[in-house]
Amino acid sequence: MNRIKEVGIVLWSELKQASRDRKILIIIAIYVILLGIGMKQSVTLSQTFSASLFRVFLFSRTPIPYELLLFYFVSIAALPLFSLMLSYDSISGGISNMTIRNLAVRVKRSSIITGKFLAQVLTNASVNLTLYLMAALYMFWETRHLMLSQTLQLWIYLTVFMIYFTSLGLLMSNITTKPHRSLYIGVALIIGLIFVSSYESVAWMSPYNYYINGFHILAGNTAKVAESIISMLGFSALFFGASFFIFRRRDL
Amino acid sequence: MKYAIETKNLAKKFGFRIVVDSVNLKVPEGSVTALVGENGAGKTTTLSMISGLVRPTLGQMIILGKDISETDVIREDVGVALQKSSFDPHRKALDTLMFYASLKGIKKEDARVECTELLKKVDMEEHAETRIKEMSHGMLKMMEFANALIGDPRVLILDEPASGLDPEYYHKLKELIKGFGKNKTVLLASHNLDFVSEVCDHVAVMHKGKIMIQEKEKKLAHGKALEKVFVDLMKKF
Ligand SMILES: Nc1ncnc2c1ncn2[C@@H]1O[C@H](COP(=O)(O)OP(=O)(O)OP(=O)(O)O)[C@@H](O)[C@H]1O
Ligand SMILES: [Mg+2]
Repeated sequence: MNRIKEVGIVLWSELKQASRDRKILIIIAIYVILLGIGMKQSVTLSQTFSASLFRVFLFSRTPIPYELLLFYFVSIAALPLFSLMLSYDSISGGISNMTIRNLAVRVKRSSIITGKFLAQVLTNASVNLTLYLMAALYMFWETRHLMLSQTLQLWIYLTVFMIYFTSLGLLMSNITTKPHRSLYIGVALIIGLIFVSSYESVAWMSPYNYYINGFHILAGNTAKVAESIISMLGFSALFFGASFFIFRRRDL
Repeated sequence: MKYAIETKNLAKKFGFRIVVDSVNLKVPEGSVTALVGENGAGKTTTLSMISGLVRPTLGQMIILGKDISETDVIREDVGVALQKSSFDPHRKALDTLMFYASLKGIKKEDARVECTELLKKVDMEEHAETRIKEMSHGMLKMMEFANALIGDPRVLILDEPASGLDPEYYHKLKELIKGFGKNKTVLLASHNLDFVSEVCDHVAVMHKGKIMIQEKEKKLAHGKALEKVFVDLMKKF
């Protein structure tokens, strides 16, 4: 069978499965509620403290929509754990409940892993897109500034981080056959990456090193942004490649 | 004689333990060949390697003339029913089979016709709308069997297809396998030697990871009960 079609079938079945998986729906609900609160707080905060607070560290000539920037920081703080929760058991879960076996006797392993990964990226990206569009509407309602294009740019930047953490989750789901272990190791790694970002010589390895660059999008500094995106996607490719390498050799 | 399945020095180690040891299995085309052996002999591991789920430590496997030694090579024209596996518990029987048919590239409408037919074949047509999680062990076994038959493959690999079936399903399964005819090859593992002597024409005896004997069933049993032959063999090794 055609490879793309194979991936498509796995992807579609994963999406359908996710849409009736109570655990996934609860995780999404919690994330949406948290970011909903974050949305409101971002607007309130930026109105109370005005822009002065941020001028200290933002050397920008273009006016910055602070409520949006704040919301971006809130969402990107919650994103790693959210992405990990969606992806940590993608392979180990299938191995431990043995559903992956009937798949693997029919479909190439590369299609399985690609389909599962794309399903998570798609789910995650659409949840965030919905939230960002809601944020744009809410902020328009509060401030009368429509910041649609900036909102979408930040969403794209956020999506790059999401891909990083999703592929990290995929890798975690591959290094062990026990889902709970995948989760623990994943959480430990996320915390580890926070520490890594605070040491200058190794900070480039941590995604947290690039968080702050979201504001460069709003300030129009594309060089900084491109550097972050390339680095994030590079690591994602590395994680995905490693996952594939392990998965191909693994006994199911 | 032409062989549908052939393994050459197939071996598997789990850690330091050799579980399958230089297995040269030859399954004649059109035969129903049984792999028998004690618990832990390595039958499932062998079948899993042939199905592409377990990666051989060493050796080569050939199905219908195609080298499938790597796990990521698709086993075309092969249907597999595993000893342990599971379907998505929330899916219904017909949807489950249709999903696996779609993985074979079968179009939705054709899949619906074929899978309905298959459910009828294994006496499960009244369960088409039953969810997997509501099924009994025997029903799940028959689902596995029906799943292996999707796309009418020329080679079937069945791991313990008869275990735990009630007399009705058991009878049905025997009739179906006996009715396959010469254009299908079946390799199955089973502990049920009555079942083996009734449906299989070739037998391979596995013991501690090695194939000890591989014979035509008639020749091996020689009119005796296969069980007695087997027990005698085990004493010898
Ligand atoms: N993933 C694994 N890791 C370690 N050991 C394993 C693994 N899978 C199987 N084994 C061991 O390999 C040996 C052979 O197992 P296998 O399941 O192939 O036997 P079998 O002949 O199918 O037995 P049964 O008749 O009980 O189904 C057993 O001792 C089992 O404990
Ligand atoms: Mg077994």
